[in-house]
Amino acid sequence: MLRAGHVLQLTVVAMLGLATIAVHSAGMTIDSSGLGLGSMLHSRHTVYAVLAIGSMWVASRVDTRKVFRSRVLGGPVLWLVCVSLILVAMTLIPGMGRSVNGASRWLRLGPGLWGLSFQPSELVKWTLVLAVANWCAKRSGVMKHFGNGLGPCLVLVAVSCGLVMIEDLGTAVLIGLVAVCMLIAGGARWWHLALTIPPAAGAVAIAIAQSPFRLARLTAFLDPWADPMGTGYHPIQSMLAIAQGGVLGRGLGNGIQKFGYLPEDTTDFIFAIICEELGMAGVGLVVGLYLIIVWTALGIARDCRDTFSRLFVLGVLLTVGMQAVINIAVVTVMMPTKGIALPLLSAGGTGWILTAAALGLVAGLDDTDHVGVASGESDMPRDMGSVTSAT
Amino acid sequence: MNSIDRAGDRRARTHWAPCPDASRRALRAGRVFTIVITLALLGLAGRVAQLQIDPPKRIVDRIDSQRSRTIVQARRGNLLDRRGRILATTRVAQRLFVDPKIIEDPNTFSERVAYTVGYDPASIERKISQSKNKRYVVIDRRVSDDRAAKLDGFALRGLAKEPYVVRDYPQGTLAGQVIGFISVDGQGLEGMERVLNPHLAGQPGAVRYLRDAKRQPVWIDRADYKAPSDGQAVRLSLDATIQTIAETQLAAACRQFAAQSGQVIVMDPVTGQVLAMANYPTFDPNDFSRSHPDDWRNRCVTDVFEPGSTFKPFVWAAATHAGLVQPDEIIDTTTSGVYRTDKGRRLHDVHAHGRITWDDVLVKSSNIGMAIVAQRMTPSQMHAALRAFGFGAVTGSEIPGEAGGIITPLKKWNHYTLTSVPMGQEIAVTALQLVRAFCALANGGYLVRPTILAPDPSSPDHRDAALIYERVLNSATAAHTRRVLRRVVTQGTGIRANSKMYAIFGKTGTAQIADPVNGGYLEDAYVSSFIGGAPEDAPRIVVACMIHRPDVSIAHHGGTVAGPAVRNIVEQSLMYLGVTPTSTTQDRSYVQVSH
Repeated sequence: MLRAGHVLQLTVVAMLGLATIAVHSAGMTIDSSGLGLGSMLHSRHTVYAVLAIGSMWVASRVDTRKVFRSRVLGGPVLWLVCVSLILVAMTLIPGMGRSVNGASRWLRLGPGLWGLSFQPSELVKWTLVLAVANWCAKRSGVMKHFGNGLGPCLVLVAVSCGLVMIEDLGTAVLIGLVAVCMLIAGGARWWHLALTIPPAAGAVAIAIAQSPFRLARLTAFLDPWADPMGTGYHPIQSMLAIAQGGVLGRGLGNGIQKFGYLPEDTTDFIFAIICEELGMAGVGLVVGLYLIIVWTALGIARDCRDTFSRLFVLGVLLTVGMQAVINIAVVTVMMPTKGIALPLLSAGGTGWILTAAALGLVAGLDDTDHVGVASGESDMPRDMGSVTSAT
Repeated sequence: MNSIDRAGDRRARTHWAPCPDASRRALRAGRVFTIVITLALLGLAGRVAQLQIDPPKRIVDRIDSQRSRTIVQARRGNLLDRRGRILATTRVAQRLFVDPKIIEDPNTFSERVAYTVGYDPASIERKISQSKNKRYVVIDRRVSDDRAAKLDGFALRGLAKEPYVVRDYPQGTLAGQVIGFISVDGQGLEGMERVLNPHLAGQPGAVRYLRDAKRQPVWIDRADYKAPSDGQAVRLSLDATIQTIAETQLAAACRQFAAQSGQVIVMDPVTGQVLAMANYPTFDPNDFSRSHPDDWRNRCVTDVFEPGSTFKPFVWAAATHAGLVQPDEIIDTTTSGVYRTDKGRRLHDVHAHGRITWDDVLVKSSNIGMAIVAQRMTPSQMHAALRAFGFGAVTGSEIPGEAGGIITPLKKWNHYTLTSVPMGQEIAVTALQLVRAFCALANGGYLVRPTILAPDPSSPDHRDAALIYERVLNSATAAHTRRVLRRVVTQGTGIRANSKMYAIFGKTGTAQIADPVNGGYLEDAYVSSFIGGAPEDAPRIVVACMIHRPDVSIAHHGGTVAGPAVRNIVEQSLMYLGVTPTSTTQDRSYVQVSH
C-alpha cells in the first residue's frame, strides 16, 4: 500500500522532473542544439534536481521528533536559527554577498570558479518553521499568554523577517505570513496577533517607500501599460506568455517568450513559460501537483498525533502552498512583482534542495507514525509527557 | 544540558497548564489553511484560463509584434518565342556589396577585390570613398558567372555577396519594345511584361516567423508558411530568328539612309500572328534605365502616320470589289501630270502616265487615276471600306498602347477627303493596322485579328477558334490585287524589292510628314515605306517596313529605302520557314499570263 509519505515523495520527484524539463526549455537559446537528453544530463539543473531528491530521501530517514526536539546544547533548532540568521546578516556585509538584479541575497561558497551561490533567506524560511513549531509545541499550554507564550516567539519572527526584509521583502512577507498562521494554529490568541499587524504593515510600507524599485513594481502592477517598456515590461511579458500559449500551449520547447522577451524565465517566471508551452494542461499539472502536496501533507499532519509534528507539517505545507500562490499570482499579474520563486519549479539549487529536504522531513514523519502516539509524545518535557499522552 | 533552559522549564511548570486541545487546534487550523490555499490555487488557474482564452486586447496586439511577415516571391514565368526560345526569364543572381564602415584600408581592399575578381580597382575605391558612412554599397549588381566562380572561397572583411532574383532577357535588345520590362518589385511596367503580368507574376507566398527580443528571426511556426505559386510561362507568336532578321535589316536600312527611326512588322497573313515586330533604335530591357523612355515605345502600334501610297491598294481593291471600275478600264490620267477635279482641286502625278488601265493606275501609283475612280464612290461608301479594312480602330491585339489611328469622321467628309484618302493622305494609321489590312489582300480577303500570342496548340489550324473573321474582299479580287501588286515589284515603283527567289507583291510609299505646328507638310521629311507579301500564289508572310525621316540627300523613295530591306527579310524568313524558292523564269511567265 502506497503510504502518504511515499505519495508526497513521488510528487516531489515528479515536480522536480517537470522542473528540470521546464527549466531547460526556458533556458534554451537559439544556438543550443535543441533539447537533447544528453545536454540535459550534463546541466547543473539536473545535478540540483538529483541532489534535491537525495536530500529528500536523507531527510525522510531522519527521526524529526527526536532530532529537533533534542536538548543537546540548547537544541539543534536554536543553533539552526542562529546560523541561518547570521548567514542572512552576512549577505548584508558588502563584499560577501553576491548581487543579482540589484539585491544581494546570495552568499558565495567555495572557490569562485565553482560559482556555488547560496541564498540564506531560503534557509531562514525553513528554520523558522522548525523554531515556531518547536516553540508552540513546547509552550502549547501558555500560547494564550503574550508574555511567556506568544511574545518571545514573535520577537524571533520579527527579527528574522526584519533581517530578510532588507534585501528580500517578498520572502520576508512569506515567512511572516507562514509564522502568523502557525502561531494561530499553535494556540495564540487572535487579538494578540492582530496587534502585530500595524507594526508589520508599517515595516512593509517603510521597506517599499525606501526602495525605488519596490515602488516602481507597485505602480507597474497597478497600471502596467503606463510604462510598457520600463516598469510595466515584466508583467506585460508575463501575461503575453500566457496569452501566446492559449489553452493548448505552443508545445514543449516551442515558447517564444523565453527568447529575450520575458526576463527571469527560468526562475521566478517559469510558470509563465509552462503556461505558454503546455497551455492549460501544464497549468493543471502544476496546480494538481501542488494540491497533492498540500493535501497529502495535511493527511500526514492528521496522522501525527503530536503538536510539534502537526505544526511542523503545517508550516511546510503553508510555506510551499503560499509560496506557490504568491508566485502564480505575481505571474498572472494579480500581485505586484516580488522575488518569490515557484517552489520546486523555479530554477535554483538552494530552493530545490531545501524544499525537497523539508518535504522529506514531512514524509519521514509519516514513516515514524507506526511508533505510536505515546512514543511520539514521549519527547515532550518529561514531566508533562504523561499528561499529554492521556489526551 | 543548558542550565538556563532547565530553569525556564521549571518556571514553566509552575505557570503552564497542559493543553490537550493544542494538537487538535493545529489540525483544525491546518484544514482551514489548506482549503484556503486550494481555493487560491484554483482561482489562479481560472485567472490563467482567462488570460489564455480572452486576453486583453493590448496583449493580443503585442503578440503580433513578435511575428514578422515576409513575402515569398513567386518565380515569374518565362516569356518564350513561338518555338520555346527564352525571351525573358527569372534567375537567381549574385549581388556583390561592401560595408565601407568596416573596411580598414579602402585602397588595398579595392586592389585585392579588383585583382582577384577582375574589376577596375579605381571604381571600387571611388564607390567606397563616396559613401564612407553607409553600411551597404553595391559594387556589382549582377555578378557574372566567371566572376562568381572567382569569388567562391574568396573572403575579405567588408565584402559579401547575396543572392537575389533578377529578370533576365537573354536575347538582349531583341524585341525589347515588345517584351518590355519589369519594375524592381517585380511588376510588369512595359510591353508584354505589363500586359501578361497576371499570367507571368504568379501568386506570391508568405511566411510568418517569430522573432526574439533582439528582432532576430527564431523559427517559422507550422501553418505560417504559404507556398508561392509560380507564374506561368507564356509563349509569344514572335519567332526569334525572324525577329533577328527583321531587326538586322531594319537597322541596316536606317543606318544606310541615316534615318531617325524605323519599324518592321512580319505577320502571318492567315492567322494574324506577329512573327516579328522590330523597332529602331533598340533598347536593352536588361538595362532599360540607361536608354531614353522614348525608345521603350513600341512605335509599331503606338505611333500613327500618314501612309501615303502604301495605302492605295486598299482603296483600289475596295473600288474594284464594289464593281465601280473594271481592271482593264482605261483611265485618263492626263498627259500633263496635272488633273483638276470637278470641284477644282488640283492633283499631281510625279510622271505623266496618259491613258492607262485601272491595273496600271496601281502599278504606276497614279494619284490622278486613284482620285478619278474614288470620286465614283460616295463618302460613306469609302468610309465603310476603310472601316472594313480595320482602319480607325484598334486592331484588338494584346500589344499594349495601341493607337486607333485617325479617319476623318463621316460628317466632315468633303471632296478633299474623298480625293486625299485614296493616296494615303488625311488618314493616320499604325504600322500594325496597315499590315493587318494588307493581310486581307494576302489571305484571300478576310480581316484577321493580329495577335502576339503563340497559337493555341489545341486549335488545328492555329487560329483562334472563338473568332469569326470578317470578309472584306472576295478571294478573286484579293488574288487580282496581288497580281497587280506583283507587277508593282516587277515593273513599277517597287522594283528594288524584287527577289530572284520568291514572288514578292507589294507597294511602295513615300509620304510626307505632316507639320504638327504650322499645318501642311514638313519639307524634306518623309516616311519611306514598303509593304509586301510573298509568295504571291500562297502568301506565307506579310512584311512592312517603315523608315522615318531618311536623309533625303541619300534617298527618300519608299522603294529605294524600304524595298531592299523587305526583300531581304522575305528571302531570309521564307528560307528559314522552309518555303521552296521559285525560279525567276517561272516567275516571269506567271506575270505575263496574268497580264
